Order: sequence, then C-alpha cells, then structure tokens
Amino acid sequence: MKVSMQGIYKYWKSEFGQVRVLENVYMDLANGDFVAIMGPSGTGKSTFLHLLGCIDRPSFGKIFFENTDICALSENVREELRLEHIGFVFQNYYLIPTLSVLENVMLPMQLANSYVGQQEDRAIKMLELVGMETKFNENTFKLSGGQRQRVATARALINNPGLLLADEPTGNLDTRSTREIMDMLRIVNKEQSITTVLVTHDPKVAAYADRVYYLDEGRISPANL
Amino acid sequence: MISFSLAKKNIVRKQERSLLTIIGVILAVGCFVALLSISEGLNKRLKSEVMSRNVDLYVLPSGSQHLPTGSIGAFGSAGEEINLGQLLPEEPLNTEAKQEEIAAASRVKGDFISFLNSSGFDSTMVPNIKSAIGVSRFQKTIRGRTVVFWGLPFGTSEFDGASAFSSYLPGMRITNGVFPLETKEPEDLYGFKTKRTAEDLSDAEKVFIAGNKIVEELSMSMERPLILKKDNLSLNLECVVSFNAGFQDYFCYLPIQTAMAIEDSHGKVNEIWIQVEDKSKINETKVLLMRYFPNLEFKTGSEYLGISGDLLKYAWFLQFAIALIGILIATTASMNTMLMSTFERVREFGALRAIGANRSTIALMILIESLILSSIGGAAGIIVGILGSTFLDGAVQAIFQTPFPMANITFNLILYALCLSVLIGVIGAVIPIVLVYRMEIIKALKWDM
Ligand SMILES: Nc1ncnc2c1ncn2[C@@H]1O[C@H](COP(=O)(O)OP(=O)(O)OP(=O)(O)O)[C@@H](O)[C@H]1O
Ligand SMILES: [Mg+2]
Repeated sequence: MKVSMQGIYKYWKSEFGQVRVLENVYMDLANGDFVAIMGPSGTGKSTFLHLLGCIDRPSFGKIFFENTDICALSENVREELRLEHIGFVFQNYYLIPTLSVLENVMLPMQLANSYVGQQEDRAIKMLELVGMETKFNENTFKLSGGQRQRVATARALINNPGLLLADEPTGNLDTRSTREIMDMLRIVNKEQSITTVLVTHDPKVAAYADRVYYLDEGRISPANL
Repeated sequence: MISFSLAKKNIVRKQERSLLTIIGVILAVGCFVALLSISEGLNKRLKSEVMSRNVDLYVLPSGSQHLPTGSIGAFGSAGEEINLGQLLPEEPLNTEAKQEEIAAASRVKGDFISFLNSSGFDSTMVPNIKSAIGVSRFQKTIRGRTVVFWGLPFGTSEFDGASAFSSYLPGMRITNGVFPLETKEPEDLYGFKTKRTAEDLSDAEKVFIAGNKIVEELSMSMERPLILKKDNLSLNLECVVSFNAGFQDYFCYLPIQTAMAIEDSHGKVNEIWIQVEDKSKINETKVLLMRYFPNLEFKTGSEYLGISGDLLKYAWFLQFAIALIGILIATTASMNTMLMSTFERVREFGALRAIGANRSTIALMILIESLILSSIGGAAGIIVGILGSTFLDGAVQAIFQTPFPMANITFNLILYALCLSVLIGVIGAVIPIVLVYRMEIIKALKWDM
C-alpha cells in the first residue's frame, strides 16, 4: 500500500496547556517499502504509528492511503480499514485475555467474517511462522513477554494487511528469536509486498529496513547510519 | 458469531461477578413471581368459579359493594342482604297491563322461599326466566380457619334440590357419601343417590355438603358432626363433592333454611341467581327486572366478574409496586456489575477496536453478555419464585386463616417474568454500550483502573 503523510502535527492536552508531540511530519512510502523508525523514549514514535494505523487522528495534516485521505473518513470506514488493510503489533501487545493463543490469532478473521473453514488452518500457519507452534491452546496471560509479542505479530499478519505497523516487535526477544522474526517479516514483506513500518531501539533490527528514520522532539528525519 | 463467543468467554472468566448479577436477577424475578402469583391465582380461581356457575343474571342488593368478600374466597356482594319481603316496587306502575303484571308478581311477596322453590318467577310476569334461586353466604371460623358457607335451596320437598343444585353449579360430582335429599327422579341424570325422603325434613336441616378440598384441609369426616358454636348446632357431613373449578371445592353447602337459621336472617338472601330461557334476550330481561325492582341491581355474569376484576387489578398493581422495589434493586445491581465489568475491560475494548472490531460488534457482545446473565437469573428466579409463592401462600393462609391456597403460577406470569428478566438485561447493557460508542480508542488503550 502506498502511504503519504503530509504536514502532520499532533498535540496532547495536558495540565500545562497543549504539548506538541509531532511537528510537521512528512513521509512517503511506496508499496512494499520496509522502513524503521528510531528515537529516544517519549518522542512520539508510538503516537506516529497510531496515526498511521487509523487508531488516532492527527491535530493537523493529512495521511493518504493510495489516494484517499484517511483522516477525513468516517469511523465506520476506518474500522474496516483497520480490520482488513492494517496489521498492528502494539508495544503492549493488547492480546484479548479471555481468548487462547489460537483464538487471539483467529479473531481478526472472525471479525472480518472470513470463510470459517480457513480460519484455524491459517491461524496455525501464522503461529508456526512466528515460532509459537506448541502453545495453541494456552491462555495468553501465561505467556512470557516475548511469546506475547510473537502472538501479536501473528495476529497482525492474519488478514493479509497491505500495511504492517510494528511497535518494537522484538523488544522482548533474544538475539536469535529477533533474527528469526525479522527474517520472517522481511520475507513476508517481499512476498506479499506489505508496506512495513517498524519502531525499534535496536540498530540490528533497523538494519533490516530499506530506510531508517529518526524521530526526535517530534521531528522526523532520515537517519544516517 | 464472534460477539456471542466473546460474551460467553467473559462470563465464564468472571465467575464471581457473573454469579452476583445472576443472584440479583434471581431475587427480583423471584420476588415478582412470588408476589404476583397470589393475585394471579386469586384472579384465575375467581374467574373459573364465576364462569363455571350456570347463572345468567345476578340479583344483588342495590349499592352493595362487589368484592371478593371478607374471607377473600367467596365472591359477590359484601354485607348487604336482599330482604325477600320487600321485593316489590314501592310505587305501582300505572297502566292496566302493568297492574296485572304486578298482581302476578305479588306472588313473589311473602314467602319468597316458597316462591323460589316452586321453580321461580312466573313466566307471565317476566318472560324468559327459566328459574331463580336465592343464595345466602356467610363465613365461620372452624378449627382456626375461615370457611365460607353457601345456603342453597336443596332442602325442601317441593324443590328438586339435587338437580337445581347441580344445574346452577354444574360439573359437580359426588366423591363420597350420598346427596342428603331425595330428588324427583332418584338416581336421575346426575346419578345422585339420595338418603332421605321428604318426611325427614327436620333432619335435612341439619346436614351439609362439603367440597373435597375443605374436607381435606380441615380433616372433616362423615362420622364426626361439625359443631357450630352458636346454638350448639351440629351438622352432619352427608356428602363430599368436587367441582374442579375456582374455590368451589373449598366451600361448604347448606340448605338455605339452615343458613338462615344460623345467621338469624329469615327471609333474607345475599344474592338471587337467575337462569333464563333465551340467553340472547338477557339484556331485555335485565331491563324488565330493573323496572320491577328498582331497589335491586342486576348483573350479567361478565358484569359481575368485571366489577371484582377491577378490584383484582388494583391488587395486582399493588403487588407489582411492591415487587418493583426488588426489581429496581436488581436492575441497579445488574447495571452496576455490567458497568464495573465494562470499566475493567476498557483496554480490552480498545484493543478489540484497534484491531478492527466495529462498535456494534462490541455493543452486541455486551448486550449478549448481559442478556445471558439476566436470562439465567430469570429462569432460576422463576423457580425461586415458584418456591417463594408456595411459602408466601402458606403465610397468607396463616394470616387470613383461609383454608384455600391462592397462589397460582400462570403462563402469563411466567411470560411477564421472562420479559422482565430480558428488560433487566437490556437496561444493564445500556450504559456500557453508550460508553463503548463514545470512547476514543487511544484513551481506551491507555486506560487504567
Ligand atoms: N493519550 C495521551 N495523552 C497525553 N499525552 C500522551 C498520550 N499518549 C502519549 N502521550 C505523550 O506523548 C509523548 C509521546 O508518547 P509515545 O508513546 O508516542 O512515545 P514513544 O516514542 O513511543 O516512547 P517509547 O519509546 O517509550 O515507547 C509522551 O510524552 C507521552 O507522555
Ligand atoms: Mg512507544
């Protein structure tokens, strides 16, 4: 999916008045781009991803998916976009605690009313892809941080999104698992030309990306690694 | 359906909370069913009692109150009596033809009993009247219970007692003993066997018939006479009958002379029951009778029932108002638990929305969850209500000293109870659903509780 951000500002209201988190952000992503965003803690990386993921709206500016300004769309259409075209791996995973590992991964397919017969097979395939083939029926609250992260990644990919947004998807993984997941993401990105944006603190992870951006004090700039 | 399976999973996961909501609904619905079963039962029994009588017109003292009388069980005018000696209109009607009618009607004056017993009004006087009987009604406390006695004309030689008795109260079966008095045709249509001949009149006045239920309730027996305190009158139970309608199985029936003697009300009855030849002309007959007897009231069966039906409606609403307190408490409790469980799950709702669940899916999930809980509560509440109704019935019987159970769980009552539990479920889901529609995903995801 082709994505274009044009002049994005984001303010939060706080006790001391308005706090600016993002300032005049521009970014263009071609179909199948794989970019990484780095930057110190609290500079607005997650906020940036939320705006792209139709989870939040910018205070000013426009975000185009192909040629549609998603900020102008109604909530109903944005719900559909999130479900069918965007995969999101949250920094805090946000798995559904009442559901098992397999059910969590199947959930977006169920919400999208996709063909029931396929759901389980596909969910199992995705879990195998992230290396979680042994814990299908486990409760998610019994999983470690790294395991949750991998389940969240499988969930994000299940509906074949055009845009994958991953907020520190390897933050809790050891070096080897990190490599496995990143290899996998790279392959999926190539095979299905999923436009991918990932936030990371790890230069080794960032090295997988085609381009790396640096976000600091709300301003984004290409990083020179 | 994903909303359904999510709702189910959440109920199972939060067992304590689910249980609390269910208990709240059980209490409300149980309270509702138990309380209203009393007026439902009363209503149903009175209806079936009145409907099962074969009476076309009721003659009542004017201005009398039409109530389920004192003991709650008997049905009709309370207190006032019709003085049979004063049945004729005060002012004679003027035309010659009317004079003749009055002359004919004057046969009514005097001994009304014999008038009644000679099979009723002269058809030349008021055409269309087939027969009429006077009935009196009183109640006595027997072995700590209030028992309703009906005085009916089955105690004279001229009157075909058994057949008249059974013609006004059809469906009567003799389950034990024999009918106290001879009928014109022994072992006639109704299969009555009679015990005494007309010569034993004085004996006949010391007998009574009892419904099978009252016999059971007060363990009456054929061997043991019933002693009424006043005059030390002892009555023999000659025959046990069963009607399977309303309260009739809980009444005792006496020859009307005996009833008048006991109540010291010679020549007075509480009501007159009339059967007509042609039921389609019942209103004309009523109008004619009203002209003759301006000091009396005439009611058809449904009018008679209607007046008391209104009263029962007030009783229904009164009990509903009491039950409402319980319902409000339960609704508040259920709203509270649903709201708490929503607050607890704001992040989860945020996560669901962030991965693309639409608001209606989540709203449906909340509604289903609330409805599952309230219907389980409703179903269990109906069972608790049925048990509570039995208990309450016992209490009411003890307080009013009535021998008959009044509670009745009707189909309608169960239907209302189910509707009520659904309503509680819907109300419980309203606020959480509104919250879900209004929440911003990003705030929901960062929500702390
Ligand atoms: N809903 C909100 N309301 C108010 N302020 C917010 C909100 N969300 C984020 N912020 C603020 O915006 C800033 C950026 O937050 P964000 O989560 O985007 O940072 P981040 O770059 O992802 O940091 P980290 O690397 O620690 O994840 C922070 O100062 C945060 O306090
Ligand atoms: Mg972050």
